[in-house]
Amino acid sequence: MNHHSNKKKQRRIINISLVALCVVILLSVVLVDFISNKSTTASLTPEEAQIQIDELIASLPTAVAKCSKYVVENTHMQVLSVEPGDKRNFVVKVKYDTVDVASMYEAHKDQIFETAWNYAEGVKAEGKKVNATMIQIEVQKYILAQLESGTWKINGEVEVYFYDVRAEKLEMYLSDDALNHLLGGYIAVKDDIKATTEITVGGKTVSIASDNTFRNGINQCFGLDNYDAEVPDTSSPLQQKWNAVKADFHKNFIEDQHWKYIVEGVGNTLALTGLSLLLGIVLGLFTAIVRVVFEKTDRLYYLDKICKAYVAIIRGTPLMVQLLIIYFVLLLPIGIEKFPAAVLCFGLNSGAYVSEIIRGGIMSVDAGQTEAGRSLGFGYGATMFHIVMPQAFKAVLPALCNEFITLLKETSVAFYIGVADLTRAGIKIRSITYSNFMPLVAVALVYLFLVLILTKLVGILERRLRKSER
Amino acid sequence: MNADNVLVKVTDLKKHYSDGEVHALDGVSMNISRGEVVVIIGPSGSGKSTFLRSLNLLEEPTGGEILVGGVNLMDKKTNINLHRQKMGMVFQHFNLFPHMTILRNMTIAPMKLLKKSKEEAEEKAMELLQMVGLKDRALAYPSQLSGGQKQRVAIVRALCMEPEIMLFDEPTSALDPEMVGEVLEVMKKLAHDGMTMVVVTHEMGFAREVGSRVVFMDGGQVIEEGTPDEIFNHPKSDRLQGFLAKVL
Repeated sequence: MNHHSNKKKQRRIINISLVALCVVILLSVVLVDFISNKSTTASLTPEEAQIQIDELIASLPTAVAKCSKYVVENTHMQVLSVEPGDKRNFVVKVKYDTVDVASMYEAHKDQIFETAWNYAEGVKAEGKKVNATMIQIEVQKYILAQLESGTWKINGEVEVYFYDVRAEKLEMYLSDDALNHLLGGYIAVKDDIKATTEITVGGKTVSIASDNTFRNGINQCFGLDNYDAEVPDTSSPLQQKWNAVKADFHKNFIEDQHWKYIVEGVGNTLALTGLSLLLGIVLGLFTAIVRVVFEKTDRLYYLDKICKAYVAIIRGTPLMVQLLIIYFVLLLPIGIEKFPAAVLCFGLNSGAYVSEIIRGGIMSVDAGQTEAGRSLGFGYGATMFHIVMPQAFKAVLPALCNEFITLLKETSVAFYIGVADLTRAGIKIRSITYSNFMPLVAVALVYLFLVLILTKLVGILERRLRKSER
Repeated sequence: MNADNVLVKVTDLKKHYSDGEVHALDGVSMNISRGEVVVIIGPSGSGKSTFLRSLNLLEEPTGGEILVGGVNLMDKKTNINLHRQKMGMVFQHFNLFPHMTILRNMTIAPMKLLKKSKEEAEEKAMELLQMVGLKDRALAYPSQLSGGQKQRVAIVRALCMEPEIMLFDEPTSALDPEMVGEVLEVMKKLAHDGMTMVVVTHEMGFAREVGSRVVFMDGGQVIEEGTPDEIFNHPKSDRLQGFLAKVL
């Protein structure tokens, strides 16, 4: 006996340490990523960085002058949905061979605005029922607004800042990071420009021997001694892969605090699940009691019929369809928000299943219990309340918890009506970064993590209950 | 045994099942006086349990009259819950509440129904547990008790409501043989203390020793009744003689 329980204890310790290990690894990956990303700029305060960026900007035209041609072309654009005021980064491919940024803009501004039209068409292609003309105007405005103050992301690698477009005096500013990527990245790839041997920036001329020193040369020119530039990859392929994964992780979760979407999503998913379960239990309890009372005493005939219909309808139609009908057909017209609509839908849905669970629980309590209660003088209701229900509840608690877990996963369809739940967080990150793997797998892992925790808790609860019965 | 002393008066009690010609009770009449111990014997299916369970309307009779203390239980206006408080019942399968401690099993009804304070109810419960020798198990759960212990608890649980009459529905039938004695001891003690009891049992020894009256039922009818001596030593009807030949 003792030996057995010792073994159990050991196993439990192993289990706990495994979970702890996983958590530590996850945390350290995040932390290392965070720190390593920090460290590239860690030697500069924001103020210092700003000064250096300003210097860089001041000296920039000369640096760019080394290029001879510049083309902006829209490559791909995924449009999932449009929300007014939504900030959106366009993916644009830049080929730069031109010297003059201003003339580059002149030559290609049509193409820049074509981006806007494509954007509008993308909206149309998605089949959103909105006035296309209106959207085009909106988007055009949006583009202008972005050009005034915002950021264009070019292939996810280069950040190019455009200022003062309306004055038609376009200047192209590169952030230090962006410049490194732009020049360094290009030269690393393109053999013909690798031949470039010297670069003049701000009156200083630096010789370039290799990719590596080219970058260093630029840093030198800009006086960015503290700038801990990323050394071009000379590491092993495995290391490169790892770095790529880290970069991907950074892009998807750390950059622009995308992880906040996930946190918010978890919060909303849990709130949605909890509130729905509460509503589900209330509805389920009521339905179960009505049906049991009818079965045992033939009272509540009509209520029983209604409850039966409710359970049949909910169990006989897909949850997704229920959600769409409840929100778009019933609640949207009377101005009810998405979140309460989702709570109502999942509550109604879960209530039908919970009622069957509870009804089974009540039926499973021995009839002798009711007789004993009645023989002591308790009425039907009091017998139910004091004697039958506590036993029924105990019997079905694990099943109820499993229903809770199922519900947690099922709430993922709430994204369809726009509830910012965990699933939507993944979709949102995906639409910003155009990555599939990281955001979607991350969402799956978070669900898995939540479910594992809940399963563990249910297990503990079950063991507790069995103990008191013994 | 004068008429004022009659606690329960049953007249022509019938229980017919609607689906067939089954007559579980076919016109049973019986007077039970205060302090009397009525033992009902008979083969299985004879209607003795149905009769007992009809006395507090756990089974609803389809005809006849049950007067308890002069009140007709069959009348729809009668508050049956109040009458059940005064009629303790002990079941074959104990029917203790498994989710409550022994003490809670015994105090819940007095507290909720008689509005006794917790202290008062527990004091009474402990007193009764002491009587049946289970004081030290007050905080145990039913599943931790043996069958005999459970049945003793079931008896004192009913006694906590201070009933005027106790109904026993085959209280020893589900027990291992070595535990029958301890339960019968408690019942004997109760009878000795003057409790009015109606007992359905197969324990002929108990019937002979404790019963003030023995009733033999068969086919939903009372075939013969009398003192233990009359029933066991001088049975008149063939059916009783046949029954006794089988069980004794």
